Amino acid sequence: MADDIRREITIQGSIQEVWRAVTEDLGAWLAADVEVEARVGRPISVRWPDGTTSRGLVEVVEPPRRFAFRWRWIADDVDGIRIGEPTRVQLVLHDAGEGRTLVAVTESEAPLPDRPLALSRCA
Amino acid sequence: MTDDRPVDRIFAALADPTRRAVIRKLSEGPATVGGLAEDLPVTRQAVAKHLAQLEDAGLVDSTADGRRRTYRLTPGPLAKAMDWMVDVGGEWDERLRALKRVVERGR
Repeated sequence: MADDIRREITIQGSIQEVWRAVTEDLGAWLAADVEVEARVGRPISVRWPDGTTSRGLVEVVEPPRRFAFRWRWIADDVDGIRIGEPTRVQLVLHDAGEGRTLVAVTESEAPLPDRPLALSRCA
Repeated sequence: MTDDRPVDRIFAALADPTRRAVIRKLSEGPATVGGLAEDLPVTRQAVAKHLAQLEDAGLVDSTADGRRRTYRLTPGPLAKAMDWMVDVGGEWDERLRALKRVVERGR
């Protein structure tokens, strides 16, 4: 299946500048309350303004071009605890010339491996 | 089939052009396998198989009247897939605009 969501934007700035903002300044563009370290296998945790959270793991860090993580949202309120489907978010940076950088983001459903597989990998 | 990845199953069901043609026909109103097969360039057996997959994905349901089974669209799941694409896409538009502001302000 193709990516479900794809969005892009062109930014006035070098690919290095944009990479730095993408990976080090998530609190300024993703959500105010973000905890993440842009290293493969590290957790990403976001608290959204509506009180829900999204949690996941960083999967790809390839400076200055590719940053990806897999996450799922979690709501814990009067309706009980609900957990969303896991999705994979990937940001890809391209040099667009004339000091500009194109940022393309995709978000697609990314089911976690079946439990027996996950267990066998741990074993 | 389990019910744990509804959006995934909906998109998979919609990935096939014949199944999309079936959905287009059903959007005009309920129909039988025979009725659909008359309007589409595939056999009754193929139509029945595609309908079963669409039913699995929750996009179509059917009622039996004696030996005659009528299929119709269930609008909920399609709307759900559309909502998901529009909502999540809109969120990313906002985040990318915020990223642009961050970089361009810092220059």
